[in-house]
Amino acid sequence: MKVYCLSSDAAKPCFVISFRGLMIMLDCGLSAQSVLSFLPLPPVPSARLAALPSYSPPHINDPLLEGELKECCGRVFVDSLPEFCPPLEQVVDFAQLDAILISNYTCMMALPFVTEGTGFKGQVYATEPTLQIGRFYLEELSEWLREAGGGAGGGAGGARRWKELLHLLPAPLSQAARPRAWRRLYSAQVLAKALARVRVVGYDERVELFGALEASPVSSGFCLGSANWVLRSPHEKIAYVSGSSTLTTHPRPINQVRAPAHPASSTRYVPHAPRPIKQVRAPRTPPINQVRALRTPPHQPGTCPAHPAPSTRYVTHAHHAPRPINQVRAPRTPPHQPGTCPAHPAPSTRYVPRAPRPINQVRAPAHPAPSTRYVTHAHHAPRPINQVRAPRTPPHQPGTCLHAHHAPSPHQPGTCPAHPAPSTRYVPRAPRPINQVRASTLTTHPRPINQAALRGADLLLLAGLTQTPAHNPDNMLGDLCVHAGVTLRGGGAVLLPVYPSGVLYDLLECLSMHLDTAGLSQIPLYVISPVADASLAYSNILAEWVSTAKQARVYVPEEPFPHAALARAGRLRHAARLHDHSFSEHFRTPCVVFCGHPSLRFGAAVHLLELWAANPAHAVIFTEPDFPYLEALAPFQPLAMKAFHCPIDTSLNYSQCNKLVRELRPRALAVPEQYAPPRGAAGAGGAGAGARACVTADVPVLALRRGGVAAVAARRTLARAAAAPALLPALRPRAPLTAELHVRDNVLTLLPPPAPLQPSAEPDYDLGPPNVDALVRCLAAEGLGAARVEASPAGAVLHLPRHDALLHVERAHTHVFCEPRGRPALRRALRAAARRDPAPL
Amino acid sequence: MPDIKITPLGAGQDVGRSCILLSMGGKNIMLDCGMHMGYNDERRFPDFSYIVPEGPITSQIDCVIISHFHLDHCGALPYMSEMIGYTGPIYMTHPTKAIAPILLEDMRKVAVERKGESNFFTSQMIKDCIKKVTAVTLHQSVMVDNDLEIKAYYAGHVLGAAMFWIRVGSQSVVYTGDYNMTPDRHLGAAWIDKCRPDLLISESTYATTIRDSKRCRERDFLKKVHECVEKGGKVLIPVFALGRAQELCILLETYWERMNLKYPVYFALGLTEKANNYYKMFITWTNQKIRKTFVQRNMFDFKHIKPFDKTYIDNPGAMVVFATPGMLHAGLSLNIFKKWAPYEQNMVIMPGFCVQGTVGHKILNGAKKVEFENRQVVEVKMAVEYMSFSAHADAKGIMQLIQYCEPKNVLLVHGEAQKMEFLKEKIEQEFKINCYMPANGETCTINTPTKVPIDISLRLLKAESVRYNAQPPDPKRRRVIHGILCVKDNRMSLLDIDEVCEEIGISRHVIRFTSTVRFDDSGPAVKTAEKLKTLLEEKLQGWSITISDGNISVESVLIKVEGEDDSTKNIYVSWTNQDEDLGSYILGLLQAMVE
Ligand SMILES: [Zn+2]
Repeated sequence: MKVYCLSSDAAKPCFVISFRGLMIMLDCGLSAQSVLSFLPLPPVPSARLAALPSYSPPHINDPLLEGELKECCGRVFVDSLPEFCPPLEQVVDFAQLDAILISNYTCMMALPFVTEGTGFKGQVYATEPTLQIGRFYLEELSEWLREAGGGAGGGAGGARRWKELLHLLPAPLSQAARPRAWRRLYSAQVLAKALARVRVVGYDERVELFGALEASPVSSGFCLGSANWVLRSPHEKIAYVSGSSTLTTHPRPINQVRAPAHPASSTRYVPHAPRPIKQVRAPRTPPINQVRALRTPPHQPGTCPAHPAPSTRYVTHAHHAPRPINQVRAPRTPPHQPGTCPAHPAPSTRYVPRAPRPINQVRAPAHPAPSTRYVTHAHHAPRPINQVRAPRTPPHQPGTCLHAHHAPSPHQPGTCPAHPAPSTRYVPRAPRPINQVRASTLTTHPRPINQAALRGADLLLLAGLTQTPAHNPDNMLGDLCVHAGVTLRGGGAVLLPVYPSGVLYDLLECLSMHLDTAGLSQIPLYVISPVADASLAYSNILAEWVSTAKQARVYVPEEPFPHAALARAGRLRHAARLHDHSFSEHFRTPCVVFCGHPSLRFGAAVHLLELWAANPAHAVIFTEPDFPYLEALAPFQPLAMKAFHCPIDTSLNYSQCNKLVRELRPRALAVPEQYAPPRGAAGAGGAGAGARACVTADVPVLALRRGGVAAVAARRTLARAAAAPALLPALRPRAPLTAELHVRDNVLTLLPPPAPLQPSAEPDYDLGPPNVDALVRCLAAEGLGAARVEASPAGAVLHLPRHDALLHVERAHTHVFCEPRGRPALRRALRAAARRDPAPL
Repeated sequence: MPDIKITPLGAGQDVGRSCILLSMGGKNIMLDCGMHMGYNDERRFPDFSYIVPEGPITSQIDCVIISHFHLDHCGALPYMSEMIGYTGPIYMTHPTKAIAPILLEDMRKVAVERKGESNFFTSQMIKDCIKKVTAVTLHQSVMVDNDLEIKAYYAGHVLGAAMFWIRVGSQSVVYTGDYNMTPDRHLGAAWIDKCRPDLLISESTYATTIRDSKRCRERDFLKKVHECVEKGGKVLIPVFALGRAQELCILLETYWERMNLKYPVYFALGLTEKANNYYKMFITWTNQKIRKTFVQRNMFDFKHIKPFDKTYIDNPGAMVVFATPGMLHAGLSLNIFKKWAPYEQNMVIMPGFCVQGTVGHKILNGAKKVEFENRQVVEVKMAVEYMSFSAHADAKGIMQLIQYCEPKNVLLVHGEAQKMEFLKEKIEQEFKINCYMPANGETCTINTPTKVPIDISLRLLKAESVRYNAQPPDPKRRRVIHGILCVKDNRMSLLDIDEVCEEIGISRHVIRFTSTVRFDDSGPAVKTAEKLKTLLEEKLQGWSITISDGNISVESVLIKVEGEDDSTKNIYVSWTNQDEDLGSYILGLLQAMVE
């Protein structure tokens, strides 16, 4: 068995395994990191981008390079249609692939690159949500790139020369990984053809692959329809785990037990979709500060004698408690102006590692300036840095209109006749007082996990771990809600660059709940995507793929997600494009806008960012983990708008992953090299201080790198066959069996042997020494004459004087010394003796 | 245990209620647990005492499988689980799990509140029962226990209707429930792969019918409705809340729209909206067309069809009313029928099958007077029309399904004996397989020759393949394999002799032959050996030939050269019995070299 690795991006994997004569591709991820090297493509022309100065390397005068590069705030970008990094082509001939198994919709974007125009003749398998949501992702992408003709700065769209001169370009562009392998996105037609190849499968369905293997998708708990694949033959098993989530490894929260009826009203992160990978529930350890959470009544910071200095106290806790601090930090009190609260005087310069920090300065991520660190008070909403420095931002109204030329008139919500008072029709189902919400602790999926399907594999292939291992999704969601609340209250708009599905559904649910409890229920939520309507509608018909809690709603029948209700109430609006008339008519700020693309290189987000970048009242909050947010923001610098990084990646982190591997007990483990222990690391888990996190296991770990191949020793010694009914009478245990072997489509069948069978076709089963008397008789019968028998210490020696042959018969072996011509008769005699008196097995 | 035993407790040569016991491989499975609408006494439920006269039933049944939400398939389930005390696993699809409790509750209300029956399950019992249900998705392979596996296929009869494939060991059965082989306005056609079950248990409601084309039926239906309302008549269409009702609503809605008709159409059911909600949320179970367009347009938001109020019954003028239940055995549809039946301008259209004992069944059989329990007699002057809108497979569809899944035996249920007989003959003739049709309480035993799984040693297979490929190609040549059969942990494997010895921990008796060749070659013996090695390497390409201490070895063949430097050498060639071919070949080579 061999494993080929075709992708260098472990979160967008692509493997091929050759196994039992089949070539099977596991996932088909498209790495989009490459688009960050390009200038954004605004949906409507941007004067700023068009006016960016051209760049050419010093002392180089290359006319071919002309117009390909632009500079923005010291960074160089390619002014062309963005390109992507598809799986490696040379290692495996795609025409030889027998099947492609997709684990989830984030890992199938390269499908057209593999299946179209390559001679691919195989079959693609994915679950229904994977196909549908994957289609949304792909269609959205291809729609945006189709709309944009060429580069934003006027470039023609086919910039190539820069790739030749890479070594002359400044970093980070010069470090672009293999730009010559980058490809433009496929057309909509090619996309449609590729998707038409997908055969839809359900969880736990057994898909037979050419009689040689059985493949089953099993729930992985990561997103709607996400699956791990189990490949099985009667004697081997391979488990492919990609994009899995085991949120049950957290301690069980107390109020989850107490008030399970309101799971949705808090901002805890409850992944919607995933049917949890079933797993043994973690022991119910009460959260450490549960007592404190209960005994802390809502109070004004600083007014309670019991908590004279809540600031230091909570910060200390945050350092020690295993629990994330967002629930501690959560605003039990309305956020107040920095510096105005006596209880929380001035932000200190102590470093709290988790405090989200907005970035609005061009700053290389590798060199964080220590002077800009600050403490976020537990009761405070984290403040963006520029506000800390200049707390007295003059009050202003944010630009409220999408079209800059419309000359928006700032107004307070409700005071403008064109934008009537926010509707109060939306009544949240079960709004809980804010402090009660905040008392809620870290949540996890309450259902126990059962990984049975993945257990005991000969090979466990692992990919798609979290891309932001340092960020706990729960905390990030809490942060996000706080940032959004503060921004909105300050009159600013919130931009969330997201994909058109996935965490978006949860964000809509959680954020709307949070805004309700924060008294911001008049704030409109917008979802802008060419596939917004389909994605939102579709999520509500996937009852069979959502968690038990969501499923229960369908039986009522209510939609599993509340966004349909939000839309009916007018709270949520969605549109294909920003400039759709019916949409821009209703658009008003402050608001929350969800739109793509998370890379900020194309899609509506580019336009909104251009529009809002100069205004510090607005905020952009990054939730998708696929792109480093500083890189994403680079072409929009200088940026006055606040930026927050709250990545929500529910995939396994390293410790969850290691726990999973221990429980699954594979015989061998294969992981992308990024996950593997550093070379030379002593033994399993030999991580010293400062060592990077990695996957460790007490079984052999194969590290896979792009373009590499790893061989996995096969253990198989048996093949499964079926004995036909007519053969049943001949089946006697511990007895020789002769049967006709019928092979068709890799299926073996045993039938009664064809008659007449030649006796010589039967092999010898000489298990024990021949009976000496019988042997003597048989030798005589073969015309070899009378044998002289002598006893020997180990048995007997037979001498045939006429043929000058000697037979040493001993317990373990019989040794025959003879002339070549006498041998056939001797063999016959030996065989006859063995048959006449067979040794018992 | 190669037998499969089937005992219908219902649906054996009748259509009243489905409940079939299946035993195979030591497992007992109940297929559907329906109630009979035509009875008001204990005959309405299956005779559970057949399974176990006394004592707990759970130990006798490994699982219950419900094919769809119609009450003649699931109506007795709360009775079984809450009153008889079955606590084992129950399986059905998600839509069935969602919708069945609503229909059960509907029926319970009719039975208890209107007819005042006692000894009936309660609302709470329905809820408790449904809680015990495990919902399955299409094609999901569900292991009920280590040996029993089930898998659902799309049946297209109503929303969520499924056929079930059931396997124990190497035996398998497909139970169709009710199914439909032609896609209709909201559902797709039943589908199954070539799973070659030992037995197919098929419904046979329309065993002798070859229905006219779908379009004709629809046109006929619309024409009749239109003609009636045009003359000022009232049209009553008794339906079940979910299923045909939605299809007919879509049909009328589009017709009303196209013809610009103004006659009121009512759907007399508080549940309408809720019912349609189920369709919306389980839209993945409807047909391709509805699934594709659901984002733009919801097929189940009706413009022309309004909710019905009881006071409308006596309204003058034309109207069309959909009312439940579908067989006119109780409830609102029966009330409306009683009021409208005596007038000949009115019409009742029965869009589905009616079981014996129901008013629907009576009037379809031409009854001109219907007598009720309270001695009320209603004259039936209204037109009575029957439209086979029940989505069952017709004879052609049943034959098609048999063709799809290639069963080794067929057993017919859920049909009338006479019609079954006809179809049975047809199946036996056309497919040359046995067809059975047991009556209720009658056990049918089907002997299924089973294949036994055997693991074959790869070493044996490889050796066979080498032998086979070494021979000149001959398509008629049989491939033959020899080995020793071993049984371990109830699994059989065919191993080669060395593997067996290893397996049972004995060392094998080895027969070795040694012959001597004399060779005149001066020089040291080691030199001679080198020479021989070169010769062998030339002749035996692809074999691994090693030499150490002057001893050459190829597989088990050993060659040893002995003799003084300047004299004749003795070459000993020795090999084990298994390597006879190779050994004698090498010996022959050396002999030829010497001569
Ligand atoms: Zn039915």
